[in-house]
Amino acid sequence: MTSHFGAWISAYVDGQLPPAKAERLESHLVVCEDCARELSDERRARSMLLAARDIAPGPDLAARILAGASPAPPTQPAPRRACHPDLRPDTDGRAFPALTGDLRHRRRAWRWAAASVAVVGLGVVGLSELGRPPLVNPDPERVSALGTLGLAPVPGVVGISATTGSATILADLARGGWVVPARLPDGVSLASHRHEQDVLELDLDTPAGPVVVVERRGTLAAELAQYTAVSVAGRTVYVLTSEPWHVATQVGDVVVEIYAPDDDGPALDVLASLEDDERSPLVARVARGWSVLTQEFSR
Amino acid sequence: MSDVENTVPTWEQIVQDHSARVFRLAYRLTGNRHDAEDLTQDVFVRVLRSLDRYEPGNFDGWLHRITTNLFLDGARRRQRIRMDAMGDDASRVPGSSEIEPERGFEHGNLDLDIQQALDTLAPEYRAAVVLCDIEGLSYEEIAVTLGIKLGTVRSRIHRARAQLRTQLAHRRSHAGAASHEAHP
Repeated sequence: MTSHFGAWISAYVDGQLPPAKAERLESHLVVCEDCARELSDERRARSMLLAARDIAPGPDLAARILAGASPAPPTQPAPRRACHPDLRPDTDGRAFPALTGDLRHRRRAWRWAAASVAVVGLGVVGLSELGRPPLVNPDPERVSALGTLGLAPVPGVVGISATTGSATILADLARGGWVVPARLPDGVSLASHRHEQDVLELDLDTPAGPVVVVERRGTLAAELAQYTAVSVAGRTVYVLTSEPWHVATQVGDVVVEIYAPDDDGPALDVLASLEDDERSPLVARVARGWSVLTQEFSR
Repeated sequence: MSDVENTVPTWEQIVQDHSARVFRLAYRLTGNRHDAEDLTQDVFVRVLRSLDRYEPGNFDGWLHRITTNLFLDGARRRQRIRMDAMGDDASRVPGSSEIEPERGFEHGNLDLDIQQALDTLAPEYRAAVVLCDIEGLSYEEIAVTLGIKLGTVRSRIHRARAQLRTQLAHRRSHAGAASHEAHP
């Protein structure tokens, strides 16, 4: 019984079997009635589905899509990836209820605080308050994780080459208060990186496929507690989806999300290699408050 | 000529060019026109939100991935709600939605049986077999689309086809018995 070909018969019918395996299957079919019957059944099922091809939408579907979803008129130039709504703390997507409400409220408070602090002098306490990290609520949907991984640039494909001088780039990012690997694990290279004021994305090329690290300044939302928590290198890591592997964790004042095809070696190594910003939380908050304040003035 | 080649399509063109294909996939996954149109609209909302991240390449593959995964997410959510509602009886719930009799008018005679048989498959199996037989994707493309391993694609397609055969045989024997009773 164990010599039957089972699911390989489907692959054979679909022309998806490597030639050597297909040959072995063909010689088996000559002597095995069960598999020969399975093959003919499989072909019949496939041809029935092939016959059910065409179905057209109603004539007004495109118009309804356009009425329901059209690009907003451009307000300000937006960087390409880092500005993706799922990565922005001020998104109004439905996956971010806690973030949206809290953040809007807090931004108004920041503006008020920015004006007051400007009047009474730039005090450390005010700056610290101003720099309080926002709540970050990562998108738990699998389609988002797949999209992020699917769009990760891969060296050698369509004119993308591996980044050179990645050690310098990582050191610069670490100085900017980001959480980066002390040293890239063996076999892992930095394919590209993008960063804005509050969002950083590192696209890593690993032997097991792309690994994307997305970082946002802020504090993980309490909603994350509903997901499975595992411990990696002493950190509590929330697993949002397991296939692909999408996890989130808090490192200092940064929320780190990691996307990988699965949790095999490289993704875990990358997670374990991340080093915290060594500045004290207060210094980091004051620095952040200063940056918020200067931005408010520059607007 | 190169100007034409380099023109970035407008959002309207993208919707016009791709909505019918997204709908076709959505229809085979959801099994009815209403849900398929809703899913198609959701897909384009998602595409619009992510358009700034899209890098030239396999646009169709991207659409397949978004459509299928939105469908699977929705199906899982519905199943969770149904499981909660049914308590201990949940194990008896089949892989997908019950078939609504009034849906029949949407299908041709041949299609009615096939779509109803598809509807009885678990959403994960249905997605694999629809991507393979209706969308014509290779096993590798299906693996990437669904975020699963190649061996899992193979076994899902195999089991899906086996269940489809059983379902279709069952339906036809029932139809035969019914017509026999009607015309003794």
